[in-house]
Amino acid sequence: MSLLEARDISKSYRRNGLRTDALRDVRFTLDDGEILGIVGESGSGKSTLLRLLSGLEKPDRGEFLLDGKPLPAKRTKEQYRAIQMIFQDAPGSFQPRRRVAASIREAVKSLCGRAAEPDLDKLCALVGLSPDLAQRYPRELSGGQCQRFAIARAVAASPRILLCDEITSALDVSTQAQVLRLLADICREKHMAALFVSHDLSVVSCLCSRVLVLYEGSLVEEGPVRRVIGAPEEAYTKRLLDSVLEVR
Amino acid sequence: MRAENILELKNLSAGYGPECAVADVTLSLRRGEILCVVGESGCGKSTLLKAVQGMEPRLRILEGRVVLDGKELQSLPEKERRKECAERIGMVLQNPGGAFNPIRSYRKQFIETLRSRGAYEPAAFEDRAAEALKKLGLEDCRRILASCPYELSGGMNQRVALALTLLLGQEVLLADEPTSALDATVQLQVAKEFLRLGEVSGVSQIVVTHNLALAGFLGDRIAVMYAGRLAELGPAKAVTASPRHPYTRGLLAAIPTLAGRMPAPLPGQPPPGGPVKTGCAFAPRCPRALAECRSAPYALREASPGHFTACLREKGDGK
Repeated sequence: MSLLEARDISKSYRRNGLRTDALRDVRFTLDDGEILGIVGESGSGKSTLLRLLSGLEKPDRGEFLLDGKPLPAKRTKEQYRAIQMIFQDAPGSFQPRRRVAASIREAVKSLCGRAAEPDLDKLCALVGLSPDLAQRYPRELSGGQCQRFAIARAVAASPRILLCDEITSALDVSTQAQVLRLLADICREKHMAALFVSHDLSVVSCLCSRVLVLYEGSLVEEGPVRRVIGAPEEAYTKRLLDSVLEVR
Repeated sequence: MRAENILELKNLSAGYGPECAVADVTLSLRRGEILCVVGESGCGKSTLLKAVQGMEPRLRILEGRVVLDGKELQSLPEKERRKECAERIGMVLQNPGGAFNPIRSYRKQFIETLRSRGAYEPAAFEDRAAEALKKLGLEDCRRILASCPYELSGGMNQRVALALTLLLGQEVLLADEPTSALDATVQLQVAKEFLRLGEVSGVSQIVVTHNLALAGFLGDRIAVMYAGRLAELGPAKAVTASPRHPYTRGLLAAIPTLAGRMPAPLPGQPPPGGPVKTGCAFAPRCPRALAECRSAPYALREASPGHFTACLREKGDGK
């Protein structure tokens, strides 16, 4: 049995009186400890999929199954805790007028109960930052430091699945490499699964074992990363591959 | 007489207070060339662009000179300097369309900009705008001019910004991370437009990016900056294929590849206070640092023809 299963998920939005399909009958599975990549351009539905999974929005049709049990429209605290999201704009995902440590503490308390107290020193060590930095405000940290704290906040509630929405797109290459390694290490050590959304196939290639390709809300290709990159079946996947710039 | 280089920076130091963020940068931009400046966040690459553009009021040039087409900008009266920069130097920012008013049509904004330079000719405007947009592969001139920036995609907005450079006849374009906010496919399209801009109109460009792969694709030459100083400068192919500075090698190793190699982050952090006064700023992170690296004065040396490095350990034979 898969850890997570998405069954024919569809979602549409109304804009200027017109209905736009953001996702059409998307189905996939995610296994325990697996990092699954999702690639596609802006508007392909990748972020919508993560928002639905995190419970921020509800699908129009279809359902998600966690451990084989459907996730209800109104989730329990335990179900919310099991799936945690990390956003692209890490500084923007923290309360700007609160110290980072307080934001992490607040997140843990809201998910695990008021009595819960995160071990900040341990969390900081996990993401390779000094505990002193957690006493700063988000604006006093670099983008990379904020993203590490965002990972710490997501991991603090001991989730089973991490949803990563373009988490390295705003970082420079060296910081991106740090964050990718950190995520891979954490998932391996804690046996956590992750859905890793990116428009960059090379980033997905080095982190994920399997990849889904989304195009205009539909799943057009899926398979092991090596196969999809080595022998893509869909024209759209080929186009994505052709757009990757590599140092020659 | 036309100067050989359209732009020259001579021992330029600039900063937001008494401390400099960019130190002792000597660079030249050849006519029609694309020079890419790469480095990590905070290395001073954007500050360098702003110092050249000269429109950021808080940024002060502490030492050195900026020479535009043989004319030393610092020696001009402030009003004239600003006029010279505005007329001849264009700027494209990371946020697509960020330099425009998001809720005002491109037609109105183009006309305003031309008018402010006394270059607006109502009868010729439509044709000239269409020609500039067409050169960048944008055929539907009417629709684009009628659109507001918020109505167009990121890639489209970046191309319109490039078209404005053409329309204004600016000779130098400064671009600050122009493709970082775009999707991979759009990123490549926009990068190609930068190349086309150089080909069709000979605009000389400085493109700042943290992406060495993009710099290798776009640039004729690459300048690598570390902690406010130039670490390496050379032909793009030489810098990416046989780098002459351990920092450049570290940046290359940090790039993820389609082959699936896990990128190796550079160990440690850049110095927090910007350029260091003595020795090599990269020495604390460098696997090959010697004692003398921490004390020797900063200097760029030519390791091979046209390829400069600040690393003491790089000898002429590339070892």
